[in-house]
Amino acid sequence: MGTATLGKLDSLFWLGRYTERVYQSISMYREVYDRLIDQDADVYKQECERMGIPDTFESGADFAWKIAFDTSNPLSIISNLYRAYDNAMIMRDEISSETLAYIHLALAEMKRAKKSEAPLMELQNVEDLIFAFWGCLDDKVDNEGVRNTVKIGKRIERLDILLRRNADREDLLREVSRLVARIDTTELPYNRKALLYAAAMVEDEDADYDDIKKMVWDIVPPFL
Amino acid sequence: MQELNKHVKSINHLLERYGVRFGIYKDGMFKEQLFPFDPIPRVIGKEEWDGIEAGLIQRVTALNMFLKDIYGEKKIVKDGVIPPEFIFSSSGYLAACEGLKTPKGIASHISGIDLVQGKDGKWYILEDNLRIPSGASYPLIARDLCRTASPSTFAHIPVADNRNYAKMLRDTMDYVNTGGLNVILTPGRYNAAFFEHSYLAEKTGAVLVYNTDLTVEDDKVYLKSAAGNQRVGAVYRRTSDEYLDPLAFRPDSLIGVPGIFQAMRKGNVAIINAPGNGVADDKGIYYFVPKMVEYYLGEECKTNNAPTYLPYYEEDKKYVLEHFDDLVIKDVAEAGGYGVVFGNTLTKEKKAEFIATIKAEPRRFIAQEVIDFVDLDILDEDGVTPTPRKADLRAYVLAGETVRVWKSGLTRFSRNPDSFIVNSSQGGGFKDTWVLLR
Repeated sequence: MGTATLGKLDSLFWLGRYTERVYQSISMYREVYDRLIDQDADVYKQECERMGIPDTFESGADFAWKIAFDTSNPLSIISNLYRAYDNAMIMRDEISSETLAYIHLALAEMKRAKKSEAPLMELQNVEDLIFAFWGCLDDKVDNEGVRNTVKIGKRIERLDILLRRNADREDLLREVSRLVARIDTTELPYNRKALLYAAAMVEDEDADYDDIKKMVWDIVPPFL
Repeated sequence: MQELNKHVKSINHLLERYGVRFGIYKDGMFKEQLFPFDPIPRVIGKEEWDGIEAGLIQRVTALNMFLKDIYGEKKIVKDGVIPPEFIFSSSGYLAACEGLKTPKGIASHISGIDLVQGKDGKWYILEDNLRIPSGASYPLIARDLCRTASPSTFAHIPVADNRNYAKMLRDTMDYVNTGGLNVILTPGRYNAAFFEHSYLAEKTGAVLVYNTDLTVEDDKVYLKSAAGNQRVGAVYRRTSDEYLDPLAFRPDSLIGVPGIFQAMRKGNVAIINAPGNGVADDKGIYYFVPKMVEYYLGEECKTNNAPTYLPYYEEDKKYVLEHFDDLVIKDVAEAGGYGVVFGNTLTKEKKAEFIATIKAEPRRFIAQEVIDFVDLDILDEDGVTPTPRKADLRAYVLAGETVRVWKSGLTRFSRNPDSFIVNSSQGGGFKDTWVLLR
């Protein structure tokens, strides 16, 4: 019998969500940042709208700095990385010091990016370290339930982001099938009906993305 | 050894990588900071260590016998070796523990004994820490990282491998386990030693738990896992006595496990270390430890106490008042380097005030001769120049099937050249402790 408590499952799940959010945010940030350099000063406004980020920014430059490094903004990349760190550090005994180390390193790199004149360089390192974290988790953590709980968090987060970005149904189908294949290997309390509905809706070409999104949110409702 | 100094940058990088930190509350805010590490180890030769080890085994054996006696028959009091005031007025004495029988009769499973080496070469015991001594994880991980950064150092110097601490701890937990899981109970993420709690859980294979993860039913302790309740046989708790169980101790504790103490009383779980140990590491009781060794073991005490005076005794009080400027005065209720006053540092007014307090509350203080202890070199901020600093050694003694001393320890040093205070909470750093094999 597994020894994971509900508190641990919650932390592992959110560790998956936050690491994926950081990873996806950096890749979106790179695109927007590039266009802000010399192409479209207002491109950040569309990104805010798409991702549901309140547009409180004064300019493209203000957006570029705050959305990456403003620790007082809970939607910034650095805040999300801190949340990943908070969840990871209390899971040392489950994910191992070696795996946790990549989150420590990513945070240190993020702090360096904050001081950098060309932060995309350091942000690339943050992305690499998140990848290394996932790789290490796969390689070093024997407990399948632990590994897969993190992965479920990652998949839910990715689905949410893909839906916000109006991604192709093919991408959604791939993520949903990964979710369905894995979720029963964990002890995570989840809503099976919502999962099956979400899977069916993704296959239905007429289903509205906002409706699918709501269903995805219901798959793993707050359980603590 | 100098080879290691060249790698100080790499070692610090590795310490950051693995999050070797401790928490501190400053101005009401929780902050995490790296525990400053100095790469120059404290080195103890084999013969010297053999002497320390024998003394510590004897000391901890006697302290465990004292704890069993004091919550049982109290022979040592009845025989007049220790005045009852020193037992029953100690803040560490818990009446609730009267008649408590601990699994396998062990109360102090993990003892952290603080020592210093005097310039006369002798080692002196400064304190016995029998409640929840922390710090073993730091030299444990530091050794691992130093071996990574400078393998050639360890290829040429015969140092006892200290990476068996987790195994020793696990053996201790298994030995007293009453049947079920081993768990490490942490007060939470914002505890100063959270790194250690999580690291030791990882290394021993014990389950790291918070109080809300445990439940007590029919005087048995269970882990509330997602898959169902699972019996717990040993709890290495890192929560202090008063907060451990709101039904037995402080009723306002939000970090305790209701009913765990009763489960222990019934013999259904081992609590590591047992509640009530504070009575034996009280600074006032320290004075009596050599007498305990003679009383329980019929042996001469092998460890040296720092020359200590108890103002409780008229003769000692007279001496303390006459030699106030030469002594260090300690408040027995304080810990972590707090409540320590060097007589010669006080202004005239403060001194008069302090003396009045000693006269009014003599049981509250002990006075000790200031030991002129050996300085250890640390690398200065430039990372090159060795600079002497005050340092102590916390040795870890684990009591299970046998009493064993970990061949290493936490060497803490003061970063302030004028200070004797080495505690991490007051800005101190740490070193690894090498015990040579020959």
